[in-house]
Amino acid sequence: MPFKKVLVANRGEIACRVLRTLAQMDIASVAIHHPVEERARHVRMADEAVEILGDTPVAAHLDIAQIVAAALAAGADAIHPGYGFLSENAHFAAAVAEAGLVFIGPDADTIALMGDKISARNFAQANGVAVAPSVMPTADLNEFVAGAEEIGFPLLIKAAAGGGGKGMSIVRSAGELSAAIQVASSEAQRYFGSGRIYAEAYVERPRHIEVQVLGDGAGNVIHLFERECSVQRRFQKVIEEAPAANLESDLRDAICASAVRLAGAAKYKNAGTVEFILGADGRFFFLEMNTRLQVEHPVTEMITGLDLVRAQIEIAAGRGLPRAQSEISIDGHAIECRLCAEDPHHDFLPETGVVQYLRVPEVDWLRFESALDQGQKITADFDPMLAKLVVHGPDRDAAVDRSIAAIHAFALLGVTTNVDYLARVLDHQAFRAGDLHTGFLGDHAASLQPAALPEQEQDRLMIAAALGFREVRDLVFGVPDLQASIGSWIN
Amino acid sequence: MTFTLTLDGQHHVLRILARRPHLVVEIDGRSHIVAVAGEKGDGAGQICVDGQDFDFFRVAQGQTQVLRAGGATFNVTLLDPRAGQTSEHTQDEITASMPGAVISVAKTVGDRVGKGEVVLTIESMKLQTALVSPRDGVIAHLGHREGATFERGEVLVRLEPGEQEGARDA
Repeated sequence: MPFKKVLVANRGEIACRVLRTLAQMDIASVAIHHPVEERARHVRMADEAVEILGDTPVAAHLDIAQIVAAALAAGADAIHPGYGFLSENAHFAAAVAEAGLVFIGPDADTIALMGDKISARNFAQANGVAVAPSVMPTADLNEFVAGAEEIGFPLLIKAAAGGGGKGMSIVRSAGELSAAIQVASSEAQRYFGSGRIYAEAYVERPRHIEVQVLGDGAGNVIHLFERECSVQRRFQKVIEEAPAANLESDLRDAICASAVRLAGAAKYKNAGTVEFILGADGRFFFLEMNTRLQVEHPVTEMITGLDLVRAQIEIAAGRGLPRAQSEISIDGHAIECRLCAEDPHHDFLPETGVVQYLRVPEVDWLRFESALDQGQKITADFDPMLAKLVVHGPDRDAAVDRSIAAIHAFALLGVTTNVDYLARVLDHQAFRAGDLHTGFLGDHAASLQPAALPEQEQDRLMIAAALGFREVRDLVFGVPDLQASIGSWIN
Repeated sequence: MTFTLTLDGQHHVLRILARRPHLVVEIDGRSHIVAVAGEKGDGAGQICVDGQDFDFFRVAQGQTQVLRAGGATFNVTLLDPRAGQTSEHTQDEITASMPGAVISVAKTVGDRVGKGEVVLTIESMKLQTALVSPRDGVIAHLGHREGATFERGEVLVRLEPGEQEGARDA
């Protein structure tokens, strides 16, 4: 047994995901939770639970000292950080190690290296990994502006301490540049604690291609092929798939090799993802490296048959990589849809409510990853992502068809979600053709509006809905004949 | 009896024309024969409309039924029959459409406001919105101060019942 007991420093669906593998490996588990989530599914799944406190539920999950203390008190020998929260916090990784516990992830130094987007970029460039032309800030703002203008427009202003799609803005002309730099810098200071920004060439209609890697910390790295995450809204991923749609195998080999080279040079330990942008001309550039498990990892698991959480635990326990590169191949195609509590008709504003009804189809090609319970309150305390619908098919067309079928058979009522919108995206002719780029959802916004319903269908659903109202049901079923003769009966 | 329903914002009129020998329901003048599989609460259900089976999932949220059928979700609201065709212009309330906090309050109880005048400004998810009076009237209730938070659906402003367009049934 790699570890006796692991504390999962996270919540929601990823905590449930990690707990599931821990149970399969017969490793004792500890969950942490804020008082508002004491009945949450991840708490019930774990063998033990520790309450953590904070001004807000999120603050509790970011409290390094409390979480490390909880692990020590519970007798855990390792901590799995999940994604988000403290998973890419070098201080947390260091604190865990200092406490004599094993951090299931990379070393604190590697997290720090890749966490700063500028240092990561420089490291990539120094190790033969292509990066987009860019300009780093200097003390002289005019020099920076001149350098940015040399890159050409459009370009991106990015926060060095940002990442995960946050802290970026597109500048389309020289006239906008100075103002954009000032705004970006002050926003970066406010949101990430550092005003450092840099300018980078913006690739038009780029595809977001990322490679899953596993390293043993001694320079040995394998890749588990790529994922395509081009379907995004405001830099947040909505639909992901593995492998990338219509990617030539030469290009796949080149991108994956690049990722392996980078991770190898960093002597990367544990699971990570190297993100690239791929232009229409076939040129690809390093974007950033995420030193944690990603939300969309299930699509990789489905095409390779490998449990990534298990691999993380085994590597952390010093047992090395799970397979040789030659033993990893692509089987079929997998698509993941992120189900969120948001209203596509109101600019995707977050929604709250109660899970009044939940029905998930049970088929072996569908993985429904969530922490949802019927009756659960959906509040604004945490992220609006509720669940992931992950589907596998023998090829991409089958995976798309199955994803749509799964959504049609699925129901979550009581809180508004983007589920209908997801089905329309999947069924869109351009999505089916694999004609993807990060501007996809924006470009096709008009044709992603719901189609008008034929009258007969409208009537049917109004009748079905009307029968849910007590006033209507009373009239249809329960009103005695005497009363029924009053009013507008026609018979 | 006539019911006024809204489906995603559009008004429709539903009448029960007959219960025997068949249940006949009329929507906007179009009649349909309906067979109901029996009394079902929230959850999965089936009805037969004009000979075709129709499967759906349905939950109640106050005066709205949320229905999922054919892979799409719909909201159907039953309007108060006593108010008849209640239009927006006779609204007496401003309700929060999302949770948030009050940034600033422009009016106080007793103030006379014109239709479209800003009553308070709120913030939610880093978005600021100015809430305006739905009609001319007098502020009867304004329960949240600057900085106060509220949940979705909470009434933020209520006007004195007053002159409205169209007559109301007693």
